[in-house]
Amino acid sequence: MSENQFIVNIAGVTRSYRIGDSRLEVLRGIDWQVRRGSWSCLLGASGSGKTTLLNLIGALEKPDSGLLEVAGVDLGKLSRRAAAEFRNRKLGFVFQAYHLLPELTILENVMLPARLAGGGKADIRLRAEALLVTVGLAERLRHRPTELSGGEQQRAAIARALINGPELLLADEPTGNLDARSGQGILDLFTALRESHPTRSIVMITHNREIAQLADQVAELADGRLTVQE
Amino acid sequence: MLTEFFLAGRYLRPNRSAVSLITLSSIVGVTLGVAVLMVVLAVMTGFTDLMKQKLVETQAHFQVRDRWNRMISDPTDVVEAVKAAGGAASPVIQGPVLVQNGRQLDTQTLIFGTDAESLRDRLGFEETPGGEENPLKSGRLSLEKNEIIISNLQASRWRTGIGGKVLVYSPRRITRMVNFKPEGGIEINKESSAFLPTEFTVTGIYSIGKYDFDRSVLFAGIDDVAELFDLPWGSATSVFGWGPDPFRQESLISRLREALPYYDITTWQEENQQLLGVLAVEKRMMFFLLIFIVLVAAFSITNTLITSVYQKTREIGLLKALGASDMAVTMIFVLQGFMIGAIGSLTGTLLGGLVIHFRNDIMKLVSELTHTELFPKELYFFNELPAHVIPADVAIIVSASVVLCTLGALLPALRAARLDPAKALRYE
Repeated sequence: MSENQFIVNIAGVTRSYRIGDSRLEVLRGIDWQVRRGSWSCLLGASGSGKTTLLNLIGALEKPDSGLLEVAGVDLGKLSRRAAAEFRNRKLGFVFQAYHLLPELTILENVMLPARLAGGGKADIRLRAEALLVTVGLAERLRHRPTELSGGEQQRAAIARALINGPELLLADEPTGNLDARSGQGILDLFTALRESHPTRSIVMITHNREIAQLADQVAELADGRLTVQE
Repeated sequence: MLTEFFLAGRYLRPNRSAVSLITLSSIVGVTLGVAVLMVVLAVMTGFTDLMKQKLVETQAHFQVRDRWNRMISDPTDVVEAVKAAGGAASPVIQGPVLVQNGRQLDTQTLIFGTDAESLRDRLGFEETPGGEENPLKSGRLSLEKNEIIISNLQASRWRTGIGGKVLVYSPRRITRMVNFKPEGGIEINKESSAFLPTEFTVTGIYSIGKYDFDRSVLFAGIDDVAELFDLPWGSATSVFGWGPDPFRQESLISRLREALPYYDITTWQEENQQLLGVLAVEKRMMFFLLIFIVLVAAFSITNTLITSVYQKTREIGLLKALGASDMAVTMIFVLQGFMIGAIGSLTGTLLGGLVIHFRNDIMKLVSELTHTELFPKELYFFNELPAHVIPADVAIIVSASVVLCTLGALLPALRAARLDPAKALRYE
């Protein structure tokens, strides 16, 4: 299998944080390869380093050592500016707490990554409206985030993550703040997305092993090390 | 840049319909600063303009004097040279005198030897009193032998009026009454004839409306003044000149300097260099002092935005996760400062314009409320507040305010840009 088939290629990645006078080693030599078009779930106890690993894949921070390639780009060598552009063009983020900007309407929130990338506003608006129709929020375009339920906000966040057509979706416990019904709706949405875009990859953090069963690959972090099950 | 502008605008107006209270207070700060600056500078400019106008009205546009400060024995040549250069001229004898009325002696008087025609042509005197612009307030315009025209302030000080008599002493004559002995001390100059003051009759009372002029200047016939100062008939201490435009007379002066190489020619601006310089320095100082109001407003923007950066740490992290560069984040916050500065400057300019427009009504109201006259006419030569808005001044005020507010936003903007996105997203 050629390396180009992997959307994520991690080898020997370490990451530690200085806490006072000591260092906390969070990731101790991680190796992980994620196939393009696959759905991978990342499991682990609280504080095991799942979010740190997702941040590394999302170019939000850099590893101390090791190789970290995402979509064929060595993230360790990216400048801050190049990393920002990389996140904007190649990645889509979905957070547990939705993180929609309260000052903007739902439509404006979805349009935001595309506006940061530049391009015609009319075209971006059309794409954002189409995505909001796809996630079932056609009637909520002009609403502010606080006027929506948690499930609806997460749908809007997913639409925002998709606006620039990312190669990789990074989801950090996307159902963590939702009730069972809303959570199931979000998982159905991910499943539908995967079916409609087979080349798009998903890396999702979850505590829920039932959700992990939906994935092609499950990786589990414990004591700073990763074990992968295909 | 459009997206950064859009986001900056939304952060200033988090609700759909109104700006936030914090934004509003920042805008009000800038508004007041700009308005106060604009009003003060406009009044200072108006005052300076009025002062210049009064100077031009009460003084010659330029004066020609002998280079070695001697009397001009035959001023005809100078008068003709001025006329040939395109101006008008009149020989004048001027100097300090002592004025006695009864037992009172006034030592602060300047006598101008001229003629009725020059007073009419140059200072706007009419033959008889009447009309607000006419400086002659009572009596008649006449400077025949031993006749003088005094100001209303002098009339009041000397307790005299039309037909009244005043005695005028020439200090030059007084100095000749004694000799300095070689061995020290003084003695009476026996060669000097007995010195008597000249008695003048008041024929007219004037008021130019410029306090220091009215306080000190009296007019007499040029031959009387020549006699008073023991000058030969037909001579002058200087020649007063007038050009077509007192504010643009550089070429006229330059032609005259070429034509009259043995004379000093000083313009009215040079004569009043100290006063005009003080006015210009005052205006600049007022600008630098009052710009501190805007500076304080800019600091309040800094404080507001520092708070905003802390409150929006997670949003900043999110923006970075979505692909906003450090520059984009910087711009979002810098543009907030710029917008506050621009809106505050606009409203400040409007408020300043309104205050300037209604300044005299406001002044009248303050006078009525405090039962005081803000500008007593005896001390100031205006009883309405002058104002002149110079567009360049407004442009400088607005530019300085916008720049200060934008710079005020730079510190929090740079802090926001330096935030680590992963840490910012975890910020509680």
